[in-house]
Amino acid sequence: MINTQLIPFYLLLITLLIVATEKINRSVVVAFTALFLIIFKFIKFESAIEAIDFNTLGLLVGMMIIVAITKTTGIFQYLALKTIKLAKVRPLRMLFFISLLTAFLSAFLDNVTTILLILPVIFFISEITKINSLPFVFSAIFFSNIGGAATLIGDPPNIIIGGYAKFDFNQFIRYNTPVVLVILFFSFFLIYLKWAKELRKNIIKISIINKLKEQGVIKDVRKTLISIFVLFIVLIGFVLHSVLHIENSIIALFGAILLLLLTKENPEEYYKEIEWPTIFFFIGLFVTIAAVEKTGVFDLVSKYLLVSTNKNPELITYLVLWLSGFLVAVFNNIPITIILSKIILSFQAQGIDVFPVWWALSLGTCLGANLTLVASSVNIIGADLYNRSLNSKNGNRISFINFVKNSFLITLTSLVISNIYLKIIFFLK
Amino acid sequence: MFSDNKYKNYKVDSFYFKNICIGKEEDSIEKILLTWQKTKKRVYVVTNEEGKAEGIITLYDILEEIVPYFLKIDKLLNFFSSNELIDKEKFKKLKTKKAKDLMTKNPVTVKINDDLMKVITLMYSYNFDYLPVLDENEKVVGIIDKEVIENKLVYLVNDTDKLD
Repeated sequence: MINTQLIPFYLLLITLLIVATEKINRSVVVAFTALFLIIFKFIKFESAIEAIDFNTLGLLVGMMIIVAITKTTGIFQYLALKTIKLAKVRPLRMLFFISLLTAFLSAFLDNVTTILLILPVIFFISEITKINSLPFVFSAIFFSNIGGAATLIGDPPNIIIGGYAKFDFNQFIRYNTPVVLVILFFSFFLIYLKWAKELRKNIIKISIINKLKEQGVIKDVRKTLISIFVLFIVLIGFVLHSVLHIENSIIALFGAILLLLLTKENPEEYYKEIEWPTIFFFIGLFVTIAAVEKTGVFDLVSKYLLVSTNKNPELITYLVLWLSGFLVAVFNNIPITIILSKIILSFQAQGIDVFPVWWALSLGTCLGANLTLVASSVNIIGADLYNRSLNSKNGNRISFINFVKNSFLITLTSLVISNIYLKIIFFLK
Repeated sequence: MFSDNKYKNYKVDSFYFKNICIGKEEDSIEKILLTWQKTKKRVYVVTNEEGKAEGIITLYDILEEIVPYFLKIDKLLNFFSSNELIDKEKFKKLKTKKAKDLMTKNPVTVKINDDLMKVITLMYSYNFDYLPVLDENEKVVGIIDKEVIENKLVYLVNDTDKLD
């Protein structure tokens, strides 16, 4: 007999499996489940509306508009080309600089936008220098996922965690950024070990690098300066969040509207750039997971985990780190973050100090995204763009296996470093 | 000059180009380029054995094969142009390609009895520069391009008073 009370839970599992297959658009599947649960009264309409975290949605929408306008100025491409020129004729140095820039941009832009800005520049450089773009593509994918872990706005899991745990921008800088820097260092070392020999064979003519006049990508200086100014204002707003007591969503939305106002751009053009499938995906998940929460499943799981870990906060922290790291490799990182956040809130209700557990969740969900090709949209888009770039050329396509071969050690190292870091800052007495 | 009545009877039949580049899907791109060079045309209609439209190739379809990949995903990078970007392999590959590899299949067409407004509507809706023209038996008999439409528009604008 099926326990009808558990129908929302079963539906969530089925939904997550369908999302993982990517056969149907994830936003449609999740929205369908959410509406089904509301129509058949598994969750009241009022509770469903209450479950939607408008702070998270506002932050996402605000940042999407800011990035949509800023990226048309060419400023990010300018930065990438400038970085490449700094490396001059040294391919390895070029790889290092471009990887660092990817991580930096990813800490402030969403990961998919970062990869869509960086990869064309990589293909451009590869085209004019005839250098193999594969190590650059892999590095951009990995560093985009890792860099996103550094800040509140770098990756959707962090935005979700920030909302549930009430962490602000500064706390992410304080707790996540240091470990991300260490992980970036080790990850580059692993990339270096794998690709250094091949890259050293490449000779880049200085005459080609000198021909690069990166100013050419900036078509509208006024719009570029306004975009930089607004981005700066928004970042200051995030940093001063605890003093200003203004929600992050309001800061981001204010920035977006200010940018539209100052640049006098047509808003309709940029409203179209908002990733509505992602927004609907979030809304559907908030409702579906709230319905599952009412069944008491999350409390049951949290009690089981507490018993099996003997209510040891240290063990719980490591468990969440590794569990989230591997779960996001198979399922999408957004539902996994929301589900595990609910379980962490349940730990908290049972008297556990969950402060370190939140950071474990953040690191696990962001860094686990590097493990498989399907673990993050960045991986799928990056691999797809690279495979299409091969076209007439010979080269290894990025397949699922090929991806894991390159990513496994980096992901494992990232999670091990995170584990050591969590031990040092929270549990070493 | 045209009368009100003439305007209403403004049919494709009266303004399409009969002299067009037409060929088969096995034709090489090299042959198409040479044909264009001789005829000063920039469009090639591909037909089947029965003379029905199979596809259409424009200069843009060929340029797309030559431009560097990065430009297709980020047009802001068009600031840089250099002969360093000439990829010999691409030209070698282009030489081996046939019409069927680059053509837009099942092109949007118009019939000789269609009126001017249908042509304008289709060109606008699909953002196409060329529309193959078919006779009653669906055989390709010519083409309409932007230039033809441009001329007709000048004509119409100059004679707006006569449209009343």
